[in-house]
Amino acid sequence: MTDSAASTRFLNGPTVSRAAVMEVCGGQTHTILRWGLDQRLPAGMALIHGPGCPVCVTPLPILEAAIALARCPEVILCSYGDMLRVPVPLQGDPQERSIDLLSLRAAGADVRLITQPLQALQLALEHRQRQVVLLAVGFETTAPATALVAMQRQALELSNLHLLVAHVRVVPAMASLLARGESRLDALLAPGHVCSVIGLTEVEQLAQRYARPVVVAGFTPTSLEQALHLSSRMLERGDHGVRNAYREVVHPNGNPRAQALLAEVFEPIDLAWRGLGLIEGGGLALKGAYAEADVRRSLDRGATAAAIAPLRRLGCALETSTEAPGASLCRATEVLQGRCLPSDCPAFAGRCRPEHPLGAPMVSEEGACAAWMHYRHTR
Amino acid sequence: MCLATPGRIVAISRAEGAPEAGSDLRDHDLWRCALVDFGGVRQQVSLACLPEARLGDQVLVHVGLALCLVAAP
Ligand code: SF4
Repeated sequence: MTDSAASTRFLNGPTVSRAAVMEVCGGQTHTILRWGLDQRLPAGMALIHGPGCPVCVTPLPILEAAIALARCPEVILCSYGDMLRVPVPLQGDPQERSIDLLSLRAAGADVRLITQPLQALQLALEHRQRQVVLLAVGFETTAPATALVAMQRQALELSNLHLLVAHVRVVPAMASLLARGESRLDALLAPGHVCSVIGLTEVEQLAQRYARPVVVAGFTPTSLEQALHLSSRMLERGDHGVRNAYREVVHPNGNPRAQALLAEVFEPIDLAWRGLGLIEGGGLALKGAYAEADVRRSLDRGATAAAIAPLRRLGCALETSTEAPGASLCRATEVLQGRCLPSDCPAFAGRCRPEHPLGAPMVSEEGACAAWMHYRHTR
Repeated sequence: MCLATPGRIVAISRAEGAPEAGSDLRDHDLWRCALVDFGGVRQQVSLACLPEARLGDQVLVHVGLALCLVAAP
């Protein structure tokens, strides 16, 4: 608990009167819960879990298209492990049943688990007669690897490799959370690996615009402790702006090469994040010549044309209102916005467990519900 | 998804399956890759975003792409 002995041991000094600090990234949520950093905060400070879990915010239409594509015999669908386990509600099913890519695989679909996007390129080279679809998710940390694959695809003229892109941008999402009227966030911890790519400029503009302290944090307990310490000092003094608590990795300019790859291949688009609603500039789409690799173009023919139909709903402001992941019980929307804790959800640890998740935050390694299940649930 | 692992570059090469090297320097970067040692486990990693990376450098790797050099703490 936040008894004074514990908080002095941790922060040695500054006490803030009632401040809510959001760690945006799900990887940081895990470290925080795992090492009990949330139980050693200075009196008055509370941590709120943010939406920084790409698997959790991937829009439903993209998942529906992935499921439909995986059902096409000519398609090899590949993505990262967690994406394969996200339950996708079966449209119009009276019992609110859902399906995921792994169970489709068990039923015979060609679904492959990959750990890096270059494996998709390899698959396309090995199976020239098949259509390889890469379901590409992730923040700016992951998007450069997808951009690289898009460029290599073009250089190799590999027309049987297709991209189903669900990349999202972190800073617009942070801005959207701060802009919302109900926002109670006093400070933010920015995801370090995203910043290692994009640098500090975008984050700096955000901190100035909303007059908040933003601290770039790493993923180890020490780095996060340091970041929390810095934010509490800034809060105490009433400072705003950006501090970098992850200097060994985050350069103020980020990685210019990675930024160039992103700019070459993608353009920002407005995107309805699952659970958060429409976010201005919150997504990335393939642009120019690279748009030829977009499933919306490259697979808009034959048997796969119907499979990509759900994608027409993307970018639609109403998208989140149709949200009913698996069971109407799921409170992922509020969890992702930091408006409730996983343990407030009536399904938590009961109907919803890691073995049979009802919502994405229970699936992903970075989902807040999975983290709570792991480190806060007493069996 | 954003987790990245530091490792040390032990060899640098041109990616397998890459087309014949042309004269375009940018193209060279596109296919440049390294064998990276992660505490005993070795993996092929793209250096497309780190043209300055050299043998022996410590790099942070995410989904098969080296994202940055890791400075000694
Ligand atoms: S515990 Fe399960 S059902 Fe409840 S909000 Fe989390 S993912 Fe949804």
